[in-house]
Amino acid sequence: MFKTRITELFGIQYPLIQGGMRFVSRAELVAAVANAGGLGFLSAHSFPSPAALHEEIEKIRGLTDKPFGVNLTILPKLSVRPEDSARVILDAGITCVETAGGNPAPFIAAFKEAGIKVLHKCTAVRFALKAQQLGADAVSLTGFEAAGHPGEDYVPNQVLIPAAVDRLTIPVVANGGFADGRGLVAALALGAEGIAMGTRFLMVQESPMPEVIKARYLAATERDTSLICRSIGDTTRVLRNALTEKILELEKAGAGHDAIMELASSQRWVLATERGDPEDGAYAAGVGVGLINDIPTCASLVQTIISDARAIIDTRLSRFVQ
Amino acid sequence: MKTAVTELLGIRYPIIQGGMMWVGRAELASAVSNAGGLGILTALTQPTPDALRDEIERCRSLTRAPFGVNLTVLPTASPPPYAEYLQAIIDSGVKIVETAGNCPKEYFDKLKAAGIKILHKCTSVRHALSAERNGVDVISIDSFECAGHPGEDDVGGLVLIPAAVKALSIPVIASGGIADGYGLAAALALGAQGVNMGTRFMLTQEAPIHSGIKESVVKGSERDTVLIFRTLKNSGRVFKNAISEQVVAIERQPGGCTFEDIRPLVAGARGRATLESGNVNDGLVWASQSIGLMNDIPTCKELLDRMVRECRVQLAQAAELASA
Repeated sequence: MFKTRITELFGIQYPLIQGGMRFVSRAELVAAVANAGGLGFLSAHSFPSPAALHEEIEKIRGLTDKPFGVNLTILPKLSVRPEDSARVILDAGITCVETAGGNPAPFIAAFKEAGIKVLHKCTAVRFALKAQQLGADAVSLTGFEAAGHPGEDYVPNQVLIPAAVDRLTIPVVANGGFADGRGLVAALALGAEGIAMGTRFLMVQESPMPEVIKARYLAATERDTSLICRSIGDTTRVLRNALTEKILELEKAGAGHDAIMELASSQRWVLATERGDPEDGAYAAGVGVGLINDIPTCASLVQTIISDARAIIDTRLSRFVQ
Repeated sequence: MKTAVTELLGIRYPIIQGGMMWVGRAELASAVSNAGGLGILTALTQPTPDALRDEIERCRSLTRAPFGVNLTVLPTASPPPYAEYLQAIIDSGVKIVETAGNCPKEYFDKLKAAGIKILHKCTSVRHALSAERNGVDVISIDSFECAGHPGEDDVGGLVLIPAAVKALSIPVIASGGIADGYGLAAALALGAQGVNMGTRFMLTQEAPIHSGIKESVVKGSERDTVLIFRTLKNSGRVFKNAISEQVVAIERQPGGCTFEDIRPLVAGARGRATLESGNVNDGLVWASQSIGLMNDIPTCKELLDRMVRECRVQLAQAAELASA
């Protein structure tokens, strides 16, 4: 066992969370994380309709009897409005929600009334304080290392986590740059009570990414991610490839929002994934990709992280504690 | 707290005060060493190699504990007499040197021949591997959070430290973004054998700069630093103030800028004058993102004792959570 306020809050065995990943965290992955003793989040905005989301939730229930959650990303212009996804979450009797992307204010009250535990994902201490004030049960702080949207402050987790822990009373989950047992112990040392990982869980057997794309992630070092869409105020961390280099050139030349998004959109990488083309999509990837050297099962990954963390604490670090 | 680094350097705590222009003088270095860490004098803060010899003697008169000297070698139009500074260090009998920048192998060889332990500070795994091949004893790996020059890779300590530890066989010191026992505990968890701090030591009682600067910088949050010289591929992290914002604005002008366009704002003499005047908006003040974790201006002894205490508490707590 492993006991923190996060494991207690969500009723899970280990303080390891698989953060929502659009189109990637589907039933198989979420259930595999749950069965391994962590907490997986299904991404609501992966689905074309509320009914499809509901169906996927039922599918997870057929695969695990452990707790799991749904990620509700709050953004305009999604195929299913967040309000409609929230309705599915409530109707389906979901018990854990990860809110992200925007202000969770319109949703938190209804979730709390339904007894749902809310983990709000955000990129800065001031947003976390706001979420705490709104009644979130915990926050997942996204450091500069994170895949996808690390915010515009560019503060890595070594500083962001203790800065957040100092000012919050609710428990903090650290996300961005974590991939192994060393990271888990470091997060605990910095005052976090759990870690969330995206890229690491994308790189497991149960993730739906095709082998050819996973091979590209596997080859990447800590220097192989790029920040795109900075110029339009929406910094996004992705795996560096031919397309992202082209996007950066466009940005440098002062291209507008639409020209950039035509290349950087999620539709584009989803299509590239279907074709098995690692060069023609902007694939989200965290800096921690440089620490990933295998594609294990979820169960094996979780066990390795936990046993490595314990070994580090018991052998290497125990001599410093007196 | 015994680690490979404390053993190698003969110090009590695995905490090092990295070289800092205008700040790394005898008052500070001796205070850090007396508190159980490793204080480091910054060679080029002294106007001449002879002045450095005097400063080393002054530091010796203030502490009997080991201390080191930083020698940063940068390519400039009119370089200081690096070889003469190096000779002054060797002649003085100092046994620990922190190198940074493009230090030629010949310097490493001379230092080693004199029985001096070399800590080499660099910002990427590939540079660390090259320094290891050149014979340095320890790598101080400097991550994106750090004050000064974090390189152009933008990798934070959380990933850079374990990546360096895995690639190297010599001990690694974590540098950048560390200000307290939480950071020390995390660095040890990630496989480092110690930590290096600059800004945290700049904001101590003993740091020989105007208290007005310390009082201004300590109020900064983790969002109050900026990266200058990005467009010149020589990124530097400094405190967000009137001058650094102006530099960034000039860099962002269409067509960019050359160093000449910003030279008057960023000249070293101006930075030095700022540290002496106490007015934080007079010039550049180098600072790490870890200023967001600093809330006081302690003595070096208070700081180190507190860090070690916090580190032990955090590690004990992690052990408890993991065994529940």
